[in-house]
Amino acid sequence: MIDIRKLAARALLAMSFAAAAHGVSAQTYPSRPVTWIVPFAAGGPTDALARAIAERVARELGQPIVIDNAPGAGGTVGAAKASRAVPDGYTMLVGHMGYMGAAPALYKKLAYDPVKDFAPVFRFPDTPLVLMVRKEHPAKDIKALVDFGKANPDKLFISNAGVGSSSHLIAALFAASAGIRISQVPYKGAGPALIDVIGGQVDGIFDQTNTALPQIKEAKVRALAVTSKVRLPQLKDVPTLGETVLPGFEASTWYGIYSPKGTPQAVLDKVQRT
Amino acid sequence: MSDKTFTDRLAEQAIQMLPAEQYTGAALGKHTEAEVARWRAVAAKANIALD
Repeated sequence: MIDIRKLAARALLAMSFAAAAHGVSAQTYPSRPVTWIVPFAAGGPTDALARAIAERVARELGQPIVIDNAPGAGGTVGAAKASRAVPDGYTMLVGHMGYMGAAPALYKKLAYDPVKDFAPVFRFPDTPLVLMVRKEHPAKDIKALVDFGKANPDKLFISNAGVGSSSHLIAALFAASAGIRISQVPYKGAGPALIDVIGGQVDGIFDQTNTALPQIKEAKVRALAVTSKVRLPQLKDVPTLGETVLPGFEASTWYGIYSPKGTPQAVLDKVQRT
Repeated sequence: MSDKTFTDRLAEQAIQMLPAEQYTGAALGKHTEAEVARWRAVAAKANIALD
């Protein structure tokens, strides 16, 4: 027979331990390395930006931040893993527009809720994207590319960093807005997706500025448009999509740090202050 | 994001700085909710689904 009093006592004890553990971690946090889950492969734009910011935050926190690359299913695998982590501030998620913004609309079954299962900690700066084509592509400007897409449904091959990546989502948004049908070619990360544009195996890509700029400067690809609201100082001759073929169009990759729901507020506050 | 040397390094890569109030956890929470709603509309319009 179940002893209700014993069960209640055990539950109370477990809650006391959990509360105590959180209380201690809030006061002494962080007393050991912190893990940031990056749900994309190492070397891509999300990983690069996360590492740059992690290095800066770690200096403020006084403990290393370990990057745990957990790719798969457009970042949803890593996000689900983060949602199940102990909410003690030692495991956080580098969130991204794909798996923290678009995923609930794109997947019928999602193992987490970006709003209900996480506590938002702080946001990163935004990263716009650049639409680039292979050097030999006949389209010399963005209008010509849209015209090419209208005249050749499904014949404009656009690579992306994987299903659910910002390069995938923004290409879909661009195609829908421009009224063209493109063929999306998913790769395992932005690096190989861009390499095949340079090599001419595919026509183009929407890539983030932090990884695209070096290729544009070396003239390995042709930049046709940027997705930001205004032109970028580094690419003054490259128009925005909004000022050319898609008035009002604006999209950037956004990121933020999230902690599993239930993380003590004092811990969140400490990370936010960095 | 108050370290100018650090933000200048990001800006060199055309990464766009935000107004200070948008970096907070509260602002990120509101932004997340707004983006979830935005992409629901986009996905419905563009008929995008991934599973």
